[in-house]
Amino acid sequence: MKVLQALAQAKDANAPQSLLQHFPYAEAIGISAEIKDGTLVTHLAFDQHIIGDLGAAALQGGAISTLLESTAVLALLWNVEKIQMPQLMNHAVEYLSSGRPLPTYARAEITRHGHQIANVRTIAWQEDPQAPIAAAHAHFLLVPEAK
Amino acid sequence: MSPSAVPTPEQLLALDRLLRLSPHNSFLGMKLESAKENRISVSLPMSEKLVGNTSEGLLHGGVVSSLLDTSASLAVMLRLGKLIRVATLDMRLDYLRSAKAEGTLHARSSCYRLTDQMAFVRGVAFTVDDDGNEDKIAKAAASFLVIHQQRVSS
Repeated sequence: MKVLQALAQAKDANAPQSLLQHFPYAEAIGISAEIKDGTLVTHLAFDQHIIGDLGAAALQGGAISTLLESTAVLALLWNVEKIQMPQLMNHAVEYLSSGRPLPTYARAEITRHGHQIANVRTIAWQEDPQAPIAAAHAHFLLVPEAK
Repeated sequence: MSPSAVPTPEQLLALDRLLRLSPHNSFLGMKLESAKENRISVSLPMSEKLVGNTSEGLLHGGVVSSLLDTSASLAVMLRLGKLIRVATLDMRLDYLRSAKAEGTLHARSSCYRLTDQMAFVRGVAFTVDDDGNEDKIAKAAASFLVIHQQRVSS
């Protein structure tokens, strides 16, 4: 099934998690999604395979970047009507503090959604949503889904 | 390790061991390809597991981020000439083209400026065609904090 067909069903059921099977790497790394207080929130489960530095028990920056990028894509799909599959043009990630061996959460804010370009800001946190461990902004080019 | 020199085979092994010590790098099958002067090259095998979405079947950008984060941090240690802990402060990636999740993904990074506490790195991710030509996928600019108090063992 195409992602956009699955998206319509997931929106009807208000269940973004059913989309993850269409995002193989996000699913493989341990990302899930839910709607919390009307907002899409993603979750990266803690697992050894996202640890980058054993000595410091810190998450690999790329794993956090994967969560933020996936969150931006899912939020665009979820919040924009008549959405096309977004294509990432650039992604700038700030690492605010070391990711500890804990569950990590993320949410996105769509700064602007135009005809061709969408700007999305994301943040990730662990125990305290007020203490983000990473923040990012991304530009997406909006293109029609491949037939 | 003396800074910015051609590393000895032992020093290369130490960087390679350090790379493999990271569970995330092992999860992605990363390996050290080469290191000389300020340039370090790493690679990983692509597979269907690394696909972003099934509509397009293309490589997830997060994989590119992980490979470039690893090559960039090793580039800082190569420039330092010591295995000292470094922390990524930020990384900006420009995605020049999308890539199929098959074959080998390469990344090459160099640390072009090092101060007491900061390191600035540029990197590129690419594939190589049958004729040996590099096809760039993404370019990265990153900065790192150098944490002199903390050595890493490999």
